[in-house]
Amino acid sequence: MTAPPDRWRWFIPAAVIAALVCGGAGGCASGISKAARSQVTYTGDFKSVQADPDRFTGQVVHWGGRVVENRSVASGSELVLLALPVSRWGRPGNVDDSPGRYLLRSDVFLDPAVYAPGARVTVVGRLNGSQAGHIGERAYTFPVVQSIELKKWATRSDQPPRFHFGIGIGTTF
Amino acid sequence: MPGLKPVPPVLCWGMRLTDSATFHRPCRFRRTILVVSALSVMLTGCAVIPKDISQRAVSGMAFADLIRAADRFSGRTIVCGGYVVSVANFPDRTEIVAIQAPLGMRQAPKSKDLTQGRMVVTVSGFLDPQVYSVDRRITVGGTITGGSAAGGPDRGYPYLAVTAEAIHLWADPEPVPNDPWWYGPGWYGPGWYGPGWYGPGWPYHDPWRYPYYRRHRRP
Repeated sequence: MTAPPDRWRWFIPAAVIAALVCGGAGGCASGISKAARSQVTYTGDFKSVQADPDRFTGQVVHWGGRVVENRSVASGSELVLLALPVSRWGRPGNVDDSPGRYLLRSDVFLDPAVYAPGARVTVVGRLNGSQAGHIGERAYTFPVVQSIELKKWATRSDQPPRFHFGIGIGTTF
Repeated sequence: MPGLKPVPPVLCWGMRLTDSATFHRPCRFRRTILVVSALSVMLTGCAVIPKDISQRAVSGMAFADLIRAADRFSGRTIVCGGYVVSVANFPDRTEIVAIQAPLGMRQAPKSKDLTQGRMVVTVSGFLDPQVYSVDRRITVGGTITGGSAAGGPDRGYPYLAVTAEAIHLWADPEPVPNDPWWYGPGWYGPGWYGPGWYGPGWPYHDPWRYPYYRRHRRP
């Protein structure tokens, strides 16, 4: 095998760096399986669903949220979620951009200690009408989503630090 | 003419200030005015409350004095801001109780320590208490509808009641790296593992990078 010509030598480190960068970027998975994401049928806005929930029954949505309330019911769990936009990487976005609240029904038990108020989630689920409720004294329509797949994002306090630096003989990473 | 050097008429990039003709002109004062006015436009031009409200607003009054003279100022316009204490939702309106703080740049509330009382803001429609959560900063433009230095029948604190015409919610301050091993979006974001980090450039892990060990000043 002959060595590559000199004028292409620069390409080797460049390709390695490019591969590392691409690999790193590809690692930012959305958290929701492709199988679930491929079922999504409605990508429109939240407000129109809230305005007429019955019209959208059966549609599958991919929404973000922050847990407001976690109620355990006999058939599983019921979460009141603050709707959040989903970023390109599948993460729930900024609270200030929240268009409203919705109700997530799950057949599995979602432990209130894990899905505690403040926890951020991304969900793929099927719209199933609405439920009337209140926020304070205001009547509120909560669109209901039946969970197909739910991803809870780790909060900062859930994760151990990834790196440790020690000073001494040698360093620890 | 001998002794007179041709000078460029304007200040150009790379030119020393003293080289410029403008600097030696008798009307160099004009430039000062220009700079000052440009600066003031930059600083005040991006206020968050609509101009027509700001212009009508009561100015030069301490908030505490406004509370004391609330009856006299009832109906007048005010621009004020503060930190959310509680949010209550009613069928047609939302009521926010906030700790007043004087306004600074872009009409943003300054430190909570400078408070002169509380404000009770009534906003028509629905604002989610999960968004307008405790300690979020708001700036409100609206009409004074009352208040009390002694506190009302259901409020044990001096307050000024305001009906909002415009309300602005300020973005949350950046997260504070409380623990030294803190990492956030900017930490692992581009520049860290991206090009310029392990790529050409800084070759090693620099724990003293910006967010590290540095507190953002929390208001």
